[in-house]
Amino acid sequence: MDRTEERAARYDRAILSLPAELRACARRLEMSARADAEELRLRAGRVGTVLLPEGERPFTDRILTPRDLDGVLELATQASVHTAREAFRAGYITVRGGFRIGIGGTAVIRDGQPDGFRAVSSLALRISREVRGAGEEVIRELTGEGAFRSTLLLSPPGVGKTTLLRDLVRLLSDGDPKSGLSPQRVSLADERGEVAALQDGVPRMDVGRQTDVLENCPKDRAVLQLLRTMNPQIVALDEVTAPEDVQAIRYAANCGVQILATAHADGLSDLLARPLYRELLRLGVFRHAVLIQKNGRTRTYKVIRLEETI
Amino acid sequence: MIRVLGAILLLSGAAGWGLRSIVRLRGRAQTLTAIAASLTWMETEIRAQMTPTPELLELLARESAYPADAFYRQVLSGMKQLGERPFAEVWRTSLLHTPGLVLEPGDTLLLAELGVSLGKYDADAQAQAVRHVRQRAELLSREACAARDRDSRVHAAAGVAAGVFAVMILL
Repeated sequence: MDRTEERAARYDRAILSLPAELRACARRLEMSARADAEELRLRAGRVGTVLLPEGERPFTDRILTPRDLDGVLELATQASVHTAREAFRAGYITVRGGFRIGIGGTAVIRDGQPDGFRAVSSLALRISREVRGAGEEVIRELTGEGAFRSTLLLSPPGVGKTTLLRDLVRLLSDGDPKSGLSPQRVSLADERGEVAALQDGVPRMDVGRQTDVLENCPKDRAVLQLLRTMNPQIVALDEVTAPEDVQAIRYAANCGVQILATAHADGLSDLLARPLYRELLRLGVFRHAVLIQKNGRTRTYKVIRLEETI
Repeated sequence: MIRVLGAILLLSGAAGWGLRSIVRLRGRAQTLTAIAASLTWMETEIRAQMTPTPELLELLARESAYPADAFYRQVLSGMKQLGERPFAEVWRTSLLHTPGLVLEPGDTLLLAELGVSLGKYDADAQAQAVRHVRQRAELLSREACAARDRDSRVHAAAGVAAGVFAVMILL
């Protein structure tokens, strides 16, 4: 199976989350589009579209109804919306295979907090892909004297933070002889189940031989629990978004553990413009930042030494 | 000889009709009692454990009394078609096609309501919907049991009497 076929196969797995009729439409796309597809967008009152590197393009002729969207959620939760309540509050659900479905619509607010949806108006099925080797380009720059130093991966949404995080976790866990890195015990706080994509306890994505995963648990609590129970050398977590996450990172760093995390930002100046991340950098936990940029189909990685920059 | 044979056939036909009515009365009472009991369990599971629907159906198929167990087995097997058919439809067709399930149209309508809300809302809202249907199912079950006790003998007697009457007229 060549790379295009492999990528298309991942798309084919993702569309299993769609009801039969939509799935049949999505399957009709040509191989190259299936291989390049980043997301499927379903909006009530509009035709379904596929997001490709060059933009969105329809994959159905039919206007979608709220019933179609309900059907997707019913299938995704196996008619068990009540068990995915926390995820609904956060506005997404993760389905088998580690694919995330983002939800838009009319939110229900309880005690000032979003508490699910009264009506769903749009869904975004993200086709996450494992890119083995994505981290090899940067791992050498992130290790000093054979030891990994805490690193923050930066990019705007949808550019490839999670993909790079996953591959770096794999490299750190298995070790990388080229950079003189021996295998490390990595604990992965995978709140959305997107990084390792556990299925019946087994990761569907390669996150390395020495990686312990805690899925579906809020990141801050997951980090503390993993520190207590798994004796990690490195803690990895996706998307630092809340002050609690920053506190958990600080606690982990004080325990002598290295951190690998991701954050939404266009660059260092964008990161520093936001109080939460300013606080994170002020702690001095991170030695490196990796800026991910996307130009058409190409991704580039730029390693920034934070001690020299800030 | 042919007259005697005709008389026997008439008599057994009428008695059979009476017997069928009795079986139906008993079957409905048994069905509603078993379903109402299983709904108590369903409500508790959803409220206390937030049990996912497939797991819940598995549990109820294993532990419920006949014929509710067969019904939940049927729904569980229909869940494989999720994505092709909505859950509410799987639930409703299972109500109509599970062998051994004896329901009047009004009973089916009531229980079909549950398929629309099951697995679709948060645990509290679902538990509330289950309780609402359970309470009405319990009421129907009590009525069905009373009808069974009251009408079984009447149906049996009416069947035999109708047969005897027809035989007498013909002979």
